[in-house]
Amino acid sequence: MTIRTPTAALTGDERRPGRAHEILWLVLVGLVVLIWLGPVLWISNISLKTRAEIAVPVPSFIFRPTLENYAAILENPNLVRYAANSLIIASVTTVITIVLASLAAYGLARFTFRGREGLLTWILSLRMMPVIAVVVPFYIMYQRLGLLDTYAGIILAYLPVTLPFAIWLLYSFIRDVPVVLDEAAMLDGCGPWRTFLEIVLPVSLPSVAVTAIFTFIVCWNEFLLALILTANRAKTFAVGMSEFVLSYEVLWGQISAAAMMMLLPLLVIVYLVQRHIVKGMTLGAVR
Amino acid sequence: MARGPGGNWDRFVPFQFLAPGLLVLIAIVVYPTIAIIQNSLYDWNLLVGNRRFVGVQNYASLLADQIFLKSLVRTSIYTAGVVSAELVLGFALALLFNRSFPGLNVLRTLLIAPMLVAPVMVGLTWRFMYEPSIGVLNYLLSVIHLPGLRWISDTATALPSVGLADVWQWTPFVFLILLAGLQSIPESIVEAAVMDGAGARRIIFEMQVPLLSRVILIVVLLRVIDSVKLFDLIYVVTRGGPGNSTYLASFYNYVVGFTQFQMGRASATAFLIMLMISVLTMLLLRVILRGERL
Repeated sequence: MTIRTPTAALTGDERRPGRAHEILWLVLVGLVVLIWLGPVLWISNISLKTRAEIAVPVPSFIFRPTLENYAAILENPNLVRYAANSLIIASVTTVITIVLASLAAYGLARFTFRGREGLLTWILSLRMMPVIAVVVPFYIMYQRLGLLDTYAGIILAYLPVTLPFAIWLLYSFIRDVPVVLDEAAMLDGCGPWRTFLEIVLPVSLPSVAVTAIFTFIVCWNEFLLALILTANRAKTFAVGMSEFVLSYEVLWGQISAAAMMMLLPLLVIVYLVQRHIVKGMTLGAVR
Repeated sequence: MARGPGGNWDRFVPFQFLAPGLLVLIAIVVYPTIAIIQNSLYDWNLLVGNRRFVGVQNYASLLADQIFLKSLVRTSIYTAGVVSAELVLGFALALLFNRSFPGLNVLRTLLIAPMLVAPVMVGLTWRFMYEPSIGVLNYLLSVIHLPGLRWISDTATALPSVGLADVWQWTPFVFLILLAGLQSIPESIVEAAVMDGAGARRIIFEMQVPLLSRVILIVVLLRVIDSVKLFDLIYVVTRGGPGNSTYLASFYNYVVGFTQFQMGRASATAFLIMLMISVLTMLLLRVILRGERL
């Protein structure tokens, strides 16, 4: 019943049932999306309520919305600091990742050399590596080197997560850039570096932007490494939020407000890059 | 695919591009792997400070530890349950969305939003909904005259509760990939089948599912690998509790390493998890790379 039915559109007689069918289908889709987003809608409702209103389990939609929960988040000096930490850590990691990954991706996409396929397979397999396995040796090493709870430490620890992902994604993007561009540049006397910097990189800028956005989101959302390798100075927003439920009285209104503040920019981003999400999340295995 | 004009260039050139990234990867990936294997052979408690070579004793005691073995069984059951739910729901949603219609893009964007939300926030949101007294789920149950559940504080429902949040977050991912797969099937094939009088059920199970088998396999393996690694949700929603009824493999590893600080034993656990993931990854790579030129 959900299959495209071209026959319905073919003959005039069947137009009418086709349209009814269409409306029914649209209602169904709308309902499904509404139910799926139920938790988000509920959270957004809660985020606008006072503590007393939240304590009443019956959902209500007519009430005087308050922004006090949002204000409380923005006025919480610790949370603001953690958010700033997350921003710094995610941005720096993204920049380093993109520089290293675009170079490597170009090298892998445009040159033949022995061991190239093995290398690609290895990088792809690193993408699957369990973080819990990385965090134990990192913790031991950082304790010795004094890198625990530092920006440098957590950024370094994020690279094994972001690099394989970004290299592979950029590789599959650059592979789609017509190689005639390189050849034309070479005929004009450009060396490999100039070809990369002045031809391939500018052409691939949208792909680089998509990869950067994904890398940033991965870092921003990361939890386990940050939980163990940071303690206070470099603590991230995700870890800070997770501690909210430990306090004596759980401030659900504020948690909801924080969740909404994280969600809204994401929605814009998703809309902008949604064409690339499938490729990004499956590393180009599914186009 | 054309391989580029590299032939005329120095053989050394590709390595100029590859070297920085590869050196970093080798340093931060290969070293930890070696360190895990090495540390797993020691009895080493960071709180006490002793470090004593014990050979494979950590592995032997792990494989005799009921809590660890149960966490492995639990991880398998959890993974099977969550991934099959995601597959069924994701495929149903993909079939539902497999049309062109103005405004459908916006609805699709809204539907896939959960998968980009930080798992910590997903966990907090669901934990709130599971609140027995002020949570919305028990209220909804009361609306249809069902008794409220204790959700995450009951050993019977704690793990399924985590799974529900997981399914909510990741079904959109399965949906999106299967939808992309469905849309890559040429319309003419479906039309021909409709002309031949094939019903919806036959089109789905005898045409679309077989044509998508590779994509389905990839998405299942990706989700299985992620479920085996699951940590964030457990940490936020149940902290492994009540008791140790929601210890999955990764969480067990965390407890050994970072609440008991037994680094040797934690390294051994990490190595075993890494082995499991490696087997799954090799399967995945075989599917992804089958017939594909890199």
